[in-house]
Amino acid sequence: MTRSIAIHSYKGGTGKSTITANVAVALALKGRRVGIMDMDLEGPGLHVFFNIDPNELRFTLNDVLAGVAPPEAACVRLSEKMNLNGGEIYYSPASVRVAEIMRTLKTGFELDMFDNAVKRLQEKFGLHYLLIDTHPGIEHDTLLALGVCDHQMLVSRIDQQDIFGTGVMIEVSTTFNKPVHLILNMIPPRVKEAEVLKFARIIGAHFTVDMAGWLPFSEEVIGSLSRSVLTLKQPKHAMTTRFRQIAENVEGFA
Amino acid sequence: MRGTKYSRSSTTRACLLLLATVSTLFSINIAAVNGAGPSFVLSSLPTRIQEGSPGGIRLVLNVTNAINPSVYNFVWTVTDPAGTSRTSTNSTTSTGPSWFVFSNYPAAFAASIDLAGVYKINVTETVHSAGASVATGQFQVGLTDNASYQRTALVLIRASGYLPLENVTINLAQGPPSVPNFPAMKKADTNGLVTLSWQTLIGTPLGNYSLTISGSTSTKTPPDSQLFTVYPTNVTVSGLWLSKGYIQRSQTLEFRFNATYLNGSPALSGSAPIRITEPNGTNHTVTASYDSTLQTFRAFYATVLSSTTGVWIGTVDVNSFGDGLSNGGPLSPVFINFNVQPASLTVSAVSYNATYSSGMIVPIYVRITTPAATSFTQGTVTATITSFGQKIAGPLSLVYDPSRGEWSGSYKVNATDPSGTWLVTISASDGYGNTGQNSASLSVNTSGAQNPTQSFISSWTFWLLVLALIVIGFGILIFRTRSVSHREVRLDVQAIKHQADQVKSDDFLQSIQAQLKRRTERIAAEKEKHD
Repeated sequence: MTRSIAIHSYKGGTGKSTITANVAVALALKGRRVGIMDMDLEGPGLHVFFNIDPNELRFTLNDVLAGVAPPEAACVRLSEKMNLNGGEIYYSPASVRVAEIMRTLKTGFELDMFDNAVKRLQEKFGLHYLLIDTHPGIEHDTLLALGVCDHQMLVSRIDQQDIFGTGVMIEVSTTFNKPVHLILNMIPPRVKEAEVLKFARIIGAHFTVDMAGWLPFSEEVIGSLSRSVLTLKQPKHAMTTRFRQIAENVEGFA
Repeated sequence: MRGTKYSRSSTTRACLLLLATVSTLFSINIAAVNGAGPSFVLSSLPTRIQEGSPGGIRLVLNVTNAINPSVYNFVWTVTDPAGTSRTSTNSTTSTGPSWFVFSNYPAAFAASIDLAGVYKINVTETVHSAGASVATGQFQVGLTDNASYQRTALVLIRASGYLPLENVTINLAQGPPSVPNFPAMKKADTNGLVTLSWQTLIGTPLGNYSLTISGSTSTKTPPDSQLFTVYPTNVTVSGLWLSKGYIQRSQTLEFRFNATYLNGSPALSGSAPIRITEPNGTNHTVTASYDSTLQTFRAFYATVLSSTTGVWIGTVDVNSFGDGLSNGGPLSPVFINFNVQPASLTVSAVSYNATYSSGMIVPIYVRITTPAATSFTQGTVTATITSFGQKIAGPLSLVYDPSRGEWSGSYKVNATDPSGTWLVTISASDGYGNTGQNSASLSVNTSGAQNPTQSFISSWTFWLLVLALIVIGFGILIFRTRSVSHREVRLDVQAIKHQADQVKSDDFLQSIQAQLKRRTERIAAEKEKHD
């Protein structure tokens, strides 16, 4: 059975796409069949991680949501390109063409269209996991995507505004009766793990959320300019170990 | 199929008559039953066949209440449309009270099925019934593969019994005039078989068609002739689509759908009403017509500022679609939901370039538009003037000026009013809960005292204090670079929950929850149906 996981954040720039790409690769390296949908329709960016030019694709997720292309036609198989041994990654990019982005944002999409696309990808490719990278904030289309997925993974920095918004997101997300998981990202280097965990416990005491992991601020991740997937490029890097740990936690999602 | 009944018991005659009537209604087979002794029911499979079809007709006699064990001897007689009768016999020894006995036409009768029309069947039994008829029936031989067709269906024509390679004329007519491309000349094959097909179209005239086939040399009695009927075709309406799943009052919603004929080709003409139902049950109707540019059916529905908020439903009702050629559909209603929310009015910003002084009039002109970009002309629009939180005037009522298309008002600056920066806040609302707000600032210089707060801000003391705070801040930053931790992040649970409650109570989230709930229910229903 496929588990669909929406990766979301209240604010932009929290590292949502980085986590999506790295966790997907970590899962694929464990032999899992993983789908990735770039539902950040307003500002897609996952294609950069995978070194794909969406302009070269015949169809994108925007076409799928507009009902003009079947989901599998807007899907790129990355396993060979990324030399994944055993696992598979099927990636559904969003359009980077401004006109198409505007069209999608203007018209929105139907719940059924998205739901059917998710189901179709799950069935067509026999996915173990479908990771959906969403657009940050509280928006109609994003919340629809959150509601359809089996799990919601919220990404936040330890930042006053971000934590406030993430708290609101957790509260709103729980109304969908789906498990909500939290990843604290870009933890400043001088903050000790004990402090992070203590903070996580405080959050856990007030909100219905499960801690899926935390990631320190990483020069290497920032320095890569989102042009590669660290988990694949530097398998022995400390951040890779953390992404793998999050992947392990994902495998434990009930 | 018509049936004939034979009974040896007068007391059961009435019941048998009823049974025979029911049999006539639900089957084209014939029934011959006997209340006390054996009963015989004759049927033919299939009940209709084309001329020259291989395999022929299977005749089936079902015998119940049979004397057991005993020999039964049946004589099957089939009379073709020319009146020629052929017989076939078979004997069987009953092995139980109920059994079947079969024959095949034309194989068991040394006959052929080269004549179109009704073939009558009579079965007699010679051992127990002294050669009396025990069952009768009939089957039909036609020239076409069906007796009626929906438009877009292919009519397959087949006739046999002609001379090898004989020239044959096939005519298809509706009333006196022949159908285009008919009469058609065709040469029979080496077995005397003629085949042809006729493709019906979405606009093929409806009604009865007469098909006649004749050879140039041979003569058939009766001649090959048959009627068949063409009905309208069903149109499937699929993919009712909306430009947006949620709109604000005053906005226009676009509906689209595709219509497809039975053969999969798209409908390119016609129209269908779309019934739009408000949450309170009130219905509106818009008509979707074909857009040849977009190659889809489109309709538009414009909400108004008083439209009910909540979940609306757009429905294409059963058989409401018509393509203008008498074809229609759909067979079941097609619907889609959307959510109407209160309008957020756009209040244009007032631009003040001048500095106003005592006695001057501050004009207030604002253009207020609905989400549909039309002018907001009816409602309540007020302006409130403040300076650093201190109210100076208002709310002042603005009135709509049709000549300017703007709401207007003014305020005369008093000598006692404070100098400094003023904020003019415009609030627009109507009786339906549509609201909008905007504000603009202006400079005022009067003889009145400066606003205490503003006075403080403009003083040297204030700026010195700011400078001191900056220095102190840098000092703290230098000495406490390690202090970026959760201790500095305040988790204001109450504020978060309060904010979340506001989001949760918003129509916007409720519409999402409503959609997701319907999805969950649908999945559960599909699962239950599947199980």
